[in-house]
Parts: sequence; structure tokens; C-alpha cells
Amino acid sequence: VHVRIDPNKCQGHTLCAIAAPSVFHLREDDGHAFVSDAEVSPDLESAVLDGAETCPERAIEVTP
Amino acid sequence: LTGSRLTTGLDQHSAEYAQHGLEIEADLRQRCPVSWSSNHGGFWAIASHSTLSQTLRDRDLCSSRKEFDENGARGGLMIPSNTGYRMVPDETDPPEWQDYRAILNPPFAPPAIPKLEPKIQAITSEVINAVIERGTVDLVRGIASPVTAITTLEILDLPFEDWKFYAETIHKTPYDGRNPVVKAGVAAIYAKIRRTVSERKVSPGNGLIDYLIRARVGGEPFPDNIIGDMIYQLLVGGFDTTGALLANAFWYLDDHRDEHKRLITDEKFLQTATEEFLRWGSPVIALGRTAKVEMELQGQRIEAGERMWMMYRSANHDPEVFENPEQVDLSRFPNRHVGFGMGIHRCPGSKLARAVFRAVVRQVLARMPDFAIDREESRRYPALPTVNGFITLPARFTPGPTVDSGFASGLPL
Repeated sequence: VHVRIDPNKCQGHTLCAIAAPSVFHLREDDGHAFVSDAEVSPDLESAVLDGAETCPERAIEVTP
Repeated sequence: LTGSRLTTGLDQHSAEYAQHGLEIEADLRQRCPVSWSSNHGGFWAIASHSTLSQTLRDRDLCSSRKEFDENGARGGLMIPSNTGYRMVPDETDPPEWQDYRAILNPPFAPPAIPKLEPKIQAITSEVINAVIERGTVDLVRGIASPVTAITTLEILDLPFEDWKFYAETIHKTPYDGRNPVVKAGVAAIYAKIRRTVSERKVSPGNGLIDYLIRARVGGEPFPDNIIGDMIYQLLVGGFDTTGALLANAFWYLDDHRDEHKRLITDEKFLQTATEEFLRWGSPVIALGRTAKVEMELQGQRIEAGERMWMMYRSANHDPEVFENPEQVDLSRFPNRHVGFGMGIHRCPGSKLARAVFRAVVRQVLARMPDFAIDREESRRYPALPTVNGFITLPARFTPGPTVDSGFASGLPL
């Protein structure tokens, strides 16, 4: 699956990193999330979907 | 457009709301998630997760800015507006908000927290040492309040012995901020901050205060009044809200003993539990904004300049987003709570708050596992407009031994 974080929406709640810590990384200066690889292996799909679902800012988009 | 305003008469400062807030919020969500109240100068109550999200996610819709004029204060986070202080960056808007937030984010960002954790552990150990042989404790005044206060003073590099001086006033501002005694307390805190800042310019210390004094934006230092407003914000943010989160968690854990063991043995469970306490206990029940522009929300027309009351706890109990919202489920996840607010003012200290919360919960459950709260003698804040705090939570437990905390000479408790 393909995952994208909108940096203008993310406010650093860090909840996505609870869902999928190997996918959602947190920036060192403010804790806002980023992904180092937008392509995520299928075994992490449900964790990544949880990450998108738990984001209060709706900043994460997951597409097939 | 709409004819008349849906008026509900919410009074967030009333004793009735303090007692029946959850029911009042459920009724508002169901009948009219956006409604007008003429109390406290008039404001819109924004009560559902979706209406709160719509307004807070867009930085151009609402203002947090507080301004002062000869008549007092306008805007800001409280309704009615509080005079005597301004929290920076919380009571500012972009673009100036950006300058403050850029400076305040790094000291609370993810890499900073593991460095603070040993200190948080030590403070927690020593605070519990002071009561562990007694068998009785006030979980608020004896544990939650000193741990959160002393941790904040440690980060700022301020003397620990002043913790009660700050705490006494700061715990009262959320529910009694217009009381002259509380206002005098705020003025005394500001006077102390001003003195400290000028002293530290001459002989710098090693804390967040000194970092703020050294900070430069476009080559310029912050003016002293802004440094003072930032320190005031850090004191308020550090002292009161994490204490409220802990108090509500103790209240729940007191009669859910079957969950204790898993909280201290299962790190992942403690992590989801922390988020669930943030949702269910909502340490900040609500905060104010001011409409920047005219907007239409749920069929109601909000005019520019009107006050808006952002009801975080109500959003956190919204059945549209949370299944069985009144039920505490410590494994609940995903958990799209707004316990730290939402939008650009999302609490910058959220990771620190979680670290303090976990340290205290772990040690209380490990060292006083049979603590039992005297629920009859427990007292919440008399009014609950913003911080969902307790004044006192007296408890009994089987006395235990002190541990080596690393503080050779103890703490001024």
C-alpha cells in the first residue's frame, strides 16, 4: 500500500507512531510524523490503516 | 440562511455543569452540536468531534489571540477572558505564533524525552519516598501535584522549594481565575518570573528559562514580557493538566484493580491506556477561541468576532467517533482523541506529559498496590470549565520501604 502524510495537516499528536512505529517516524525538532518510504509492505497494511484512523487531524492518506 | 440562533444557555462555570457535565454534553451533541449561550458575554458551544475538527483544523477560521485594553482583556482561551496574564504561544495567532512555537518545540520533541526520563523517575521515587512509610497519602497534593510541579521546575531550572508558591495559584486559575486572591497570586508569579529573568541574564542557569533568554528570532532576542508569558504558559501547562490526568486515572484504577498488573508489566497496554485516560478523563474539558471570519456550521451562522467554546471532552465522548464512549477500554486503539487539543495549538508538551503520567502510574501501582481512595472525602474542583482536576484524593495503603531515588538530601515537599 501507499502512505502519505500531509505535512500541513500533521500537528505532532504522535498517535500514528503507536500504531506503526516502523512506518511513521517522528521529526527530531517537533515530533511531526513522516514516512521514509511511501511504499509499505502488505503485512503492515492494517497497522498503517490504524495509524491513519487514529490521527485526529486526518493527515494520513493510505491508498492501494 | 438561518433564522434565529439555537440557544441552549450552557454555563460551563456552574455547579450544575461541574456535577452533570457529561450528561449536558451528551444532550448538546445530540440536539445541537453548535449552539449559542448568552452567558459570560455570549459564546458558541462547539460540542461534537466533527464540528470541533472542522473549526480547529483550519488555522484561518479561529483566533486564540488575547488582547488587553482599558476595559480588560478580549479573546484568548478563557470565556470570559482572563486579565493579568497572557499565555504564549497559546494565546497568540500566526504569524507570531510560529516564532514562539519554533523555539518551544525542540525542548519537548521526541529526542528530548528519554533524556528527561531518569530525572522524572528520580523525582517520582523521592516524592513517593516521602509518604511510603505513612500508609496514607493525598494522591493529588502528595503525589500528582509535587511530581508534575517539580518536574516542570527542573526543566525550567527554577528552585524546587518554590513549588507550592506556584502550585497554589496555578491550580485555582482554571476555576477561579477572576477571584482577586487568585489574581494577586498570578501577579506575584509574574513578579517572580520578571526578577528571575533579569537575574538569569546576569548569571545564566542551565534550564529552559536560559534557553528562552538565549533564543533569537531574525537575530533578535524575545522581549522580556514575551519570555515571561512563555514561562507562565510552561508553568500552567506543566503543573495542572498532567496532575488532572493522573487524578482521573487513579479515580478509575481505584475500583478496577484487575487492570493494575497488566499496566506495570505490559508496555504496549500502558501506552494505549494512557491515550484512553486522555480521552475519557479529558484533562482539559474545553477552551475558548474567537471566530476570525463569518462561518456557517451545522446550519448556524457564526459572526466574525464571536467567542467559541471548544468542548474537547464532549468530542472525546462523541459516539460518532468512539464506540461506547462512556466505557473505559484501556486497550482502545485506534483512539482519535483530542485530549491534547487539535490544530496548530496542539499541546507541545504532550510527550513529556505522557512520560510523567507513565512514571507515576508505574510507581504508584508497584509501590502502593493496594491503595484505596476515600471516595467520600475526595473533592473535584468546585467548577470544571477547563481543567478536569481534583483538589484532593485521600487514600490508604499498606506502608512500604523507601527506595534509592538519587536525591541525597530529599526534596522540599
